[in-house]
Amino acid sequence: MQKLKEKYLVFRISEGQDQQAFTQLYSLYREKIYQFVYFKVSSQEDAEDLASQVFLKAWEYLTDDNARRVQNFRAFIYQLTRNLVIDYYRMQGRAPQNVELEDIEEESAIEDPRSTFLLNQLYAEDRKYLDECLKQVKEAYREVIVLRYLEEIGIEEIAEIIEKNPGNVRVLIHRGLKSLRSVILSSNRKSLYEPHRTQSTNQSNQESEKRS
Amino acid sequence: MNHTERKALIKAIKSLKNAPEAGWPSSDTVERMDNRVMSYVQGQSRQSARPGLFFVLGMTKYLVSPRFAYTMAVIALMAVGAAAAISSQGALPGDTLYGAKLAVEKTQIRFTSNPARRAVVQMEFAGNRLKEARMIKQEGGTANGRVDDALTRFAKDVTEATDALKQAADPVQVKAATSEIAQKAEEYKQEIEFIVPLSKKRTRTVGMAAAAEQAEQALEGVEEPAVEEEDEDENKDEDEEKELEKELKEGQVGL
Repeated sequence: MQKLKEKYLVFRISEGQDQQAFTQLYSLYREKIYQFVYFKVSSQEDAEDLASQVFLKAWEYLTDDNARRVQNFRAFIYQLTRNLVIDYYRMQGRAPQNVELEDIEEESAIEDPRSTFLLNQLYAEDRKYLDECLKQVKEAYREVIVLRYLEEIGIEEIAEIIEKNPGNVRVLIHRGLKSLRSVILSSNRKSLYEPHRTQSTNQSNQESEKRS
Repeated sequence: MNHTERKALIKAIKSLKNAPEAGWPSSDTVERMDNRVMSYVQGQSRQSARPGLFFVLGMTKYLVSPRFAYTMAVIALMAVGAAAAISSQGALPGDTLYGAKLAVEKTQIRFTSNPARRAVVQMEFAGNRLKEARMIKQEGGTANGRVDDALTRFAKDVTEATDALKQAADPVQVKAATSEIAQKAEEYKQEIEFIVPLSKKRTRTVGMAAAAEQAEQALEGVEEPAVEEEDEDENKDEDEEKELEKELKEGQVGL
């Protein structure tokens, strides 16, 4: 139903340059697009600038009699955002980070009996830290994680947005989560979970001394 | 990564939604974006389009996927066809829906692949022509050639029925169909007599004579069901054999 409503709004924008219709769509996606861009560029100023440009470009595209090409507005706006970020990277002389799906797995999972306990504690307490960890994950992984779990977009639609097939998207999500987990567990940050680490680190240090 | 870890990780990621510390824009940021975007849009927009017929048609064309539109068109055509078929059943020659009635019958014949069955169906439809002729006569419409038309079509249907029967290969089916067709032919002969009766001078009214003659000739082409002579012959042979054995035993036949 939401998709049909959006299609109707797109049609009104295309046919009549309807500002009210555009305002409705803009309000729906304004914050989401900003957050999506922020996770890509990691700068609030750049995110604000780029997110604004996304909607200006969307208005120009739709009012240029292109409504028929936009069957799914959500996919369209995210694709537009990705393309703008790529142009932004090019202007900055940066190449977007891509991953080949045939790449060898990055790091083997650290088998840590404390991990579940630590992770649960961590996630409950420090979003800022998690945000920082997420920024350390490769962009291709970070992108699909954000689309899937923050924007709550389905696999098929993500595939349409990033122009890959659904199987590839699932692989990217799986690797992205593994990568994020590795970043969190290998982090040197101590302030939050230091008490827990101290207790169990002492235990594991004692054990390793015994072995040696 | 086990299932529990994965679940915890996903839950944590989801908690970043709408979180300012994870990139969710502040109200100031939103306000700045609004000013920039909406001022640009306002400068270029028109008033809301007033829905007119072309707007509605264009919108429908845009909102409805081609596949859905095609499916609905097919369903609509089928519904219209079914409605036409039902309402055309009582149509007589000269009526608007008579063509639709004949078309429905033709379609039914085409979908009957078995030649013997097709012959029977064709013969039944021939009977419809006689019913039409009778109804026209009862309504008093014999003067304008509508009865002729019905009888001519009747003759054609009977001929096609006999032709279809010749194409049938299965002897059992042919036998059953022949019997049924022959029975109908007898009924139809009497019906033609009623529709176009001979006067006391045993002549038919001029104009319908040719059509009635044609119809009767077509009925003459219907084969009578074959008489079951094979069994009698077999019985005759058996009797002769028994007779012969008897004679041999009694020594009446010299060998």
